[in-house]
Amino acid sequence: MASLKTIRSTAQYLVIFIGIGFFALPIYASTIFAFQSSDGSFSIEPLRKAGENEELMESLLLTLNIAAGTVILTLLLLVPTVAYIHLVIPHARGWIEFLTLTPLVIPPIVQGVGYLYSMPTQLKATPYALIFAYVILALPFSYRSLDAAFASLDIRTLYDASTSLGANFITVMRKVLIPNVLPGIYSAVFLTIALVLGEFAYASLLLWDTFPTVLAVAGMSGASTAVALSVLSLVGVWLLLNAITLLSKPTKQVARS
Amino acid sequence: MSLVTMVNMRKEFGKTVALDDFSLTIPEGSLVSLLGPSGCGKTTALRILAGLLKPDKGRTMFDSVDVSATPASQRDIGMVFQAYSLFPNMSARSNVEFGLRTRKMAADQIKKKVDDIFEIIGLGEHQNKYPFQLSGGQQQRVALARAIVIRPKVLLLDEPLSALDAQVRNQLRDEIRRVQLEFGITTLFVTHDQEEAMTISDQVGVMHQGRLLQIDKPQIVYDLPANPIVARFVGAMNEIPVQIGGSKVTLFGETFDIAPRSQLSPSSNSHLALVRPEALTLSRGTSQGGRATVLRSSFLGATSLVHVKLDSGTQISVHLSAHAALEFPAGQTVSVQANGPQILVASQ
Repeated sequence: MASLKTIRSTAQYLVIFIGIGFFALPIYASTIFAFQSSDGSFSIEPLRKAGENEELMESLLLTLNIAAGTVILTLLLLVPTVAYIHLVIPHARGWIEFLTLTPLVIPPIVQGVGYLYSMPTQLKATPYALIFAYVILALPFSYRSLDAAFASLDIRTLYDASTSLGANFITVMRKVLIPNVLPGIYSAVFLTIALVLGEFAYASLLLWDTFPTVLAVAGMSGASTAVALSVLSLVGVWLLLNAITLLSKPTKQVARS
Repeated sequence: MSLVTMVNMRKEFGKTVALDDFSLTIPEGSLVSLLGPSGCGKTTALRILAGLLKPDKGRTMFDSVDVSATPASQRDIGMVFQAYSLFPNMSARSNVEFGLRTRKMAADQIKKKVDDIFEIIGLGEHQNKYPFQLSGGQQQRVALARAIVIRPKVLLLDEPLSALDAQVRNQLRDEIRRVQLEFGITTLFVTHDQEEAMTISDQVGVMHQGRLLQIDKPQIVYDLPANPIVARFVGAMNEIPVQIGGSKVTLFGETFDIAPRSQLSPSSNSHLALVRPEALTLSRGTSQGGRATVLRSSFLGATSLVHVKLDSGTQISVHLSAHAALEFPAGQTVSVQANGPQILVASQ
């Protein structure tokens, strides 16, 4: 029995090590490639070069602005919508969740072309039009985060209680529901930002110079700079995901009430 | 406080009729309970009264004002729910302040009212705690404070005690009544617990399948149930097969008048006498009454419930003082007698 236990325990550790290695090795290799000079010393020269690359910095700023726009539009659209779904049509949650998953299964080329045809001409002329595409693209993540947060509350009782005390819908949302689904909102925000920072297909198809597309071009002329920025972007996203994990831990009062 | 009237209410959920020709009057300042099994429509009636649900038909009046089209947020009601409904992101004090803030009351007035209400419910030292730091009973007391601090026209209590353990439930039940009387708030209390309803209500309404079968003082509902359905639901009831003849029923060899509230079907030959355990007596031996054998006794404190099996095979219970019950050990042959003058009878 003991030997079986040992084998099982060793197998578990082996799987964990293989998993970690699968993710860590490419990052480690990229870091070495980006930051190690030919003489073996480490320097941040690639990042300095990236800082001097105006096109890259402009694209980063543009992407951050698009991310902010995407987050705002996502929250404005989804928070009241998810609250409404939970309050009024809770039985339809399964279908709506299925619908929000469609961006994952429809190829970007199909979505991109369809999007291009359906977009008003004025909007086609600005990269900020990508916001609308990214809101859709982020739906599987943003919707599920908010849906899970609302599902953790007895939203019907909280809504009825606040309404009976004289609160209108806006007050209920602002003072009762939103403060209690903040972990879900943080999660939706960070996942949306992470998606926009790494989204290449749409921007490339629609011929806009966002951070990922410019990074791809930069990689052709100066590979180490592009890889250094990729590593930084990866670390940034990783930090964001950790922040989600910390902020998403349900507070005691929400979990037990 | 207001006189509350619901007139000819009807509400359907798909093919289910939740309320059917439901009318209710709650006199100003009184506490009326709606009692009934799950699914009888009592919570639907309460939610319609609160404005949280729209009826298919019918009107709701506060005094002489028709509030049928008034949204819940403007009806001036206070409500306590079955589920813990305190806002998790706010302290107990902020929860109680919520309704006053939505009414845009001055800060000094809010402070005074909230201080007063915490003193009344005796939770002053807990007012800065969050809901997760309070016990279930304390949370419901804060919820009660939150509902009454706004001095609502009507207080609606939707099974507020059902999630609590027995001891806390009894304490809070008494507290609800005390506060209701102190503030004189017109109150509708919905429950499936007979004891709760009987203990604290001015009137008890018994509901069944969306209809209000009887509404009266608790004692009258218990002693003079309007029909067998009410009789079966309120309090314990023995059902003993009997023969009837004209307006008389024969039970344990004695003849009684059939109570006028009985439900007799002309096509049925099978009838049941509905007799409360305390309306029966036991005596040793078989000299008179119905012959039976004692099965066991359930000790209830001051009283005991003696379970006996009649020779016909029917099992019934007899309510006796705990001392008297000692005379009837298991296996003892006894005779059972009913106290008249009328017996409620239902056809099967």
